[in-house]
Amino acid sequence: MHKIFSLSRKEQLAVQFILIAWACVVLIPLGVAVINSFKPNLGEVYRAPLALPSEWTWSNYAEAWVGANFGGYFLNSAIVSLSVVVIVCFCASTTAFVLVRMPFRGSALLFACFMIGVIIPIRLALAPLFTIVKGLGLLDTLTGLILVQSASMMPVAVFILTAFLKSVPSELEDAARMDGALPFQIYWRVVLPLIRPALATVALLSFVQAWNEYFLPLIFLQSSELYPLTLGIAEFRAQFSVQWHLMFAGILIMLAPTVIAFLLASRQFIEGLTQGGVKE
Amino acid sequence: MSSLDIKHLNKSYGSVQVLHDINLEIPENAFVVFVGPSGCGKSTLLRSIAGLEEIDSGEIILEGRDVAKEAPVDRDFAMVFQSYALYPQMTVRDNIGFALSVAGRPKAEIHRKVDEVAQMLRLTEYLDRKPADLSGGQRQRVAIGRAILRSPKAFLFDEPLSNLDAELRVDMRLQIAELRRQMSATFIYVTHDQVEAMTLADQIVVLRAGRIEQVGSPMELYHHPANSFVASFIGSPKMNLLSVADLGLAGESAATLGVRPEHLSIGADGALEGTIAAIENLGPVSYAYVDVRGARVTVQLPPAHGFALEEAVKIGWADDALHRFDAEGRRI
Amino acid sequence: MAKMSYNRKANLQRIALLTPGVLLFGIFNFLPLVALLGLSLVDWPGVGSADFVGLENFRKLALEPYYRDQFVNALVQNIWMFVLIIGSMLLLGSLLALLLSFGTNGRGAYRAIYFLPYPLAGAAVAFLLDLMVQPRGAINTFFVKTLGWWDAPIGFLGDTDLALPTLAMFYAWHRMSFAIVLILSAIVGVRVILLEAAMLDGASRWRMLKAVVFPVLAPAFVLITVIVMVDVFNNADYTLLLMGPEAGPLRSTDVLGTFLFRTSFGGSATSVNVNFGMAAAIGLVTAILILPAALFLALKNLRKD
Repeated sequence: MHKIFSLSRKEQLAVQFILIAWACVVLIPLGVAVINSFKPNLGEVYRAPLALPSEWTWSNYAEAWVGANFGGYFLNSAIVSLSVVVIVCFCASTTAFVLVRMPFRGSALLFACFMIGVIIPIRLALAPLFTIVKGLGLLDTLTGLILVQSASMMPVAVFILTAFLKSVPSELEDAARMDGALPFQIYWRVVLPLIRPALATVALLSFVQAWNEYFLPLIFLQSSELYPLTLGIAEFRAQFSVQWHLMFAGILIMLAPTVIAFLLASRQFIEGLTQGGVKE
Repeated sequence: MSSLDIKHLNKSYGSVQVLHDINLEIPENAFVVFVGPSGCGKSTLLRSIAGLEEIDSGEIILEGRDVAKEAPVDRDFAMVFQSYALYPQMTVRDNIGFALSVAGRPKAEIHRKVDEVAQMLRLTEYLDRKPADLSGGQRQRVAIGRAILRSPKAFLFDEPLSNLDAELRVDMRLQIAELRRQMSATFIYVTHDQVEAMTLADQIVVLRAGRIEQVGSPMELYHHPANSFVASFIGSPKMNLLSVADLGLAGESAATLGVRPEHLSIGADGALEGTIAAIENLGPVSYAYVDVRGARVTVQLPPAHGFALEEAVKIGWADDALHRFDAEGRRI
Repeated sequence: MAKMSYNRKANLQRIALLTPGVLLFGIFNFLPLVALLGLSLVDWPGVGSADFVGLENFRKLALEPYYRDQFVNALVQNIWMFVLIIGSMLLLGSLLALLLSFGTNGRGAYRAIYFLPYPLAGAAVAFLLDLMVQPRGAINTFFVKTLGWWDAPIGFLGDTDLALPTLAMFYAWHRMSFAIVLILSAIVGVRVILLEAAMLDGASRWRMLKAVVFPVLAPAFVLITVIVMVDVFNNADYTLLLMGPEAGPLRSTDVLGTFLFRTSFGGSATSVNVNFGMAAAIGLVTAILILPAALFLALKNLRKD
């Protein structure tokens, strides 16, 4: 590295000070959550929120998981998120495949419609969306929620996949066409393996988005046995807002999957952040 | 009767017309090479014949029926692509057998046919590898194997050797020529390399800017180029095109004279005077680049020539070696 | 019947491949967006019959005090929140990205730590940080009991002046890494030019930064601003989660998202004053407000390929 980027001893010290300061801002809330979630009783949380537990215990996690039904919420979140990932990956890749490789009259218009979905957030169309879901009898069902959340991810997913597909040459698909492969076969045997990197980004993006979504479940679910974690934790807070040790445990249960996903695939994450930055 | 007959074919991308009224007859079992500079439409013409590109108008008549609207697979052609287009996640065996597996043929039959083809192309020991583990030449053979497997009516090659290094290219050229002797099928081959065209073709089709400039055997093109473009495109080094006006050649009716380096003589007498600007000694032949009144003329020299740089020389030619072109470049 | 030709089969399969995606997006995303236009012209509580009222909803929004005051209040506070968020993200984000671009020890670790909040759910971040700023939470305990700097705990979210800025800081905490990543990649992208220029005229580091680095930050700044703007003007999750649809205290944290939510479903179970037509009108107006930014973003992305 050139010397313009290297720092003198003094400069290094100043820079480290600022960087550590922000690292503390980031880490302290998470650290406080971790230590307090292991405390045996509420008194200790209130008395000394910054101190280590006098005795480390998993009981808050057990209590949250079973007593506060975080186990059930977790299952619902998992069902919704995984379904959304599968649906979005399938629907967006078939759509992008046809739009890029088998264009027809009107395909540019169709793509423009998808781009409108990128531009205008679906939340603003809350009232008509609610009416449609209700009309289809899908209110207060996981199916309805899954479809709505999948649809909200479609524009960005189609955008990422069409851009990727345009960047790879079509000779492989031409070769398959010469050999008599039909679109289903080309999609399944040629295109799907080809777009795997972009598909991984889309899968990660839609998983995190679906797992973290609060607003859409709030609108479309009423029965608490269907609640995902985002609603479950809000419900828990409304009822037991003083049970901080349980809140901390619940929050950490909720964070675990996305943090793990991030640790496993931080590179795709950051790529997705810049590509999918179109919509947050 | 010809096996493939193209009539009034037009093709455009948006508002840009890339092929203009192409008419071409390709005899059965011929080896036809489309050649021309990049962007001349040769690949588009090949892909139109293959059915990979929709054409705007015209007919593509295969054995008496118009296939212009038919799908690639119904035309029964096989194609070898520039990038080889091997499926990266499949083994060599699955790549070669892809067409049959798509057609839903029994596994045993596919296995047997792939083995035959692999034997022929010396690929047997690589059948279980993935394309990424093969060299460029081996990948090219797999791509050819995939084409052979279907025993198509015609093989279409789209610049198949341009990704290979020079040595391998000569080797593959010979293999393709050998393949051609073994198969009874029509070969249509696209290249920008006139050496490939000259060595492989029965018939060369020279294209420029979406139009056919000339069709003929390699020797016809070499000896009787229809215009100055074909004249300068075929043959290496290029034919000298001498402007009659610039060089002040008296008593000439043509606008441009064409004469190949190998038909020029250099020495004490000749029609043009110049100085030698550069000499290239290649071993079997040498070339002198002579500056004549601002124009540069290439002359082939015998192996032991004794000429030196900056030497003043005269260049001459026999009249029957001259090609005469008019102001539009047409042969006179 | 004759065997279907390849082209016919291919056409049918193309339609089959296109159908699921188009139906999914069409029914649950595109249709609602288009229906905003029609729904904004009716008066409809969500059940029963809808009355066509023309532009009445828009007139009410602009003129009738009940709606106008809420709308103006939400809009002004939304803008204030946006300014706080984008200001802190650009300032802090640039500073941190710049420091990370130098030959700093432990750059990789810092980047990983800074990125940690990004994948967290908004709901988790809201409640986690809420527990930090509560009167009995870690921050107040630290400054009141441990350091003794403050006489009494500060109720950040209970104070009409502090609640909105506090929520803005929550947002900035959550999304800071987004700014850092984009700014850092802009700085890293210029590195070679920077080096060469620095070698050539031996300029001081600060002059180099001014001449070479800052200009390339402009596109990154614009991108961050636009994305955050679109988000902040339609996403009111923090307010909804912590303050509820009534956006307390005293509507001091009300933004367009909560106003829209309240108009559709009411502030509480007993609300009677709900109107889907008005909700559609608010959605439409908000969409028009963020449309220039969003269009800019879309065009920029389309130009890229």
